[in-house]
Amino acid sequence: MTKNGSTPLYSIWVVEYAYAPDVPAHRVIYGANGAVRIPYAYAVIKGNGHVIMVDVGYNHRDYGKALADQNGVLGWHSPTEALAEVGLTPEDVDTVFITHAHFDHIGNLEAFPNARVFLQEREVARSLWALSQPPRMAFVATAIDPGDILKCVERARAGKLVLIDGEFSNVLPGIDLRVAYDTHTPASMWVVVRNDGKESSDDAWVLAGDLVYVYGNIEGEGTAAGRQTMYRPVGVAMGSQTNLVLATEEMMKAVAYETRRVVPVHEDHLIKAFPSRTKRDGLRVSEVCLAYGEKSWVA
Amino acid sequence: MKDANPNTTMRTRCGRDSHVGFLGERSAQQERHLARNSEAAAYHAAVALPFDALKRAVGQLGAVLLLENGKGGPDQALVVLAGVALETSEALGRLRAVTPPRVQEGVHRRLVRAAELIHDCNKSLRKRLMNPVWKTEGAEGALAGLWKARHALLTASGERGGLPFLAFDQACGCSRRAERRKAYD
Repeated sequence: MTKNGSTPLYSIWVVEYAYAPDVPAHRVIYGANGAVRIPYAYAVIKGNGHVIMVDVGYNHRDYGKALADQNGVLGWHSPTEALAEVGLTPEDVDTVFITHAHFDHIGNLEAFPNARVFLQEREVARSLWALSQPPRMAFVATAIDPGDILKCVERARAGKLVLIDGEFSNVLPGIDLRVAYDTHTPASMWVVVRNDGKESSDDAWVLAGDLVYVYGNIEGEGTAAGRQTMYRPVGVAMGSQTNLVLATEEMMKAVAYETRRVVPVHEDHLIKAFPSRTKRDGLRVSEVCLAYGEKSWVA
Repeated sequence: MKDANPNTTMRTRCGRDSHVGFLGERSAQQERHLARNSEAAAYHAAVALPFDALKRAVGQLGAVLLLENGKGGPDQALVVLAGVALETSEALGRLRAVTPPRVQEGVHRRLVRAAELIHDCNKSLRKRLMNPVWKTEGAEGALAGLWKARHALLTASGERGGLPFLAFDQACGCSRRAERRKAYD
């Protein structure tokens, strides 16, 4: 049951498929010291006759070795292996929301052949702009793989790609797409699941994409402001940290300021916030919520 | 080497040279290895700019196809195509002016091929935008050509080709190890 007594529409799981053991903390939280482990994970939403992914991860065939060698990303598991942990296959996925056009979020689109894909038009238009800049401005085009754009063209020609312009309420019943401009990327999307289906939901969850990497971006150290905590934005931004703070406020508003309900898929401690299971290989499955009638995959 | 980029210098990591023996002398094998590396570095410097232009061109032409029904319309697309045409033609000129070392000949052929494919795709997309009747055929052919070009560029990168196809450092996880290595490069 949800907080207001209605039955939840959707289950949400976060399924890890790789990890980076030694990421400089300043990339994750602006100005932080030291290093942190960050998992790479699929956010899976299931219910109302749909199986939905928020982002699809990176293309291991093209970049797995380079990511392992250069960036220390280890332990990659295919979508088939990872989704099996919650009783699903990549072919079951009918909808994909791409939060942004970085290769590690959009790169494995071909693994989900049956999915209709939603992506912000501005994210593509700004990628085009970024790719037209001379090499001295290459910073603006980092993490954009031209091949991912071609995959989107293919999906569009098959009638399975929807370019959206701004927010999209009820893209599926009870699910809204929201956008934060000039933040981590030019048009980073976030997803609200109103699990009681109500317009003014008492049971909302936010899937934050890369707008929030970890809970420390929401409840960061706040002594500078004379507080215990304050928003401390993600360190990696093509737009601005100020816009990231504003986006965090919007996400928090959507969940009535209950931090736990903003789900960051790179959070190493997600297992402390939700019922979880650790697989033999060390990767974890966190069960954010369960739809009515859905069995637990972490029990 | 006819067209090495004078602005690009060869670098060795941390100033170390792993091919120098304990007393500083090099074996004949080490000398050959060093010469090969040095040739490869000079080649990479010579083709880095055209490689980058071609890689970006694939993405730009793909985005034109993707956004064809979007806000910008054909006028904006034609501006993009004109820019890509100029860069591709310059890239092809630079590539043709380079004589690759033997070990890089395969890579070089692929780069030239990618430039030719991109040039053809650009032409067909332009034709398509100018003449809507031609629409269906133009898109399929251009997309196929762009995939081939991307594949050619990708095989010129990585361990064998050595040219960087994608910068990972704005992605979520860049390890401390990677940052330390960048500092040494």
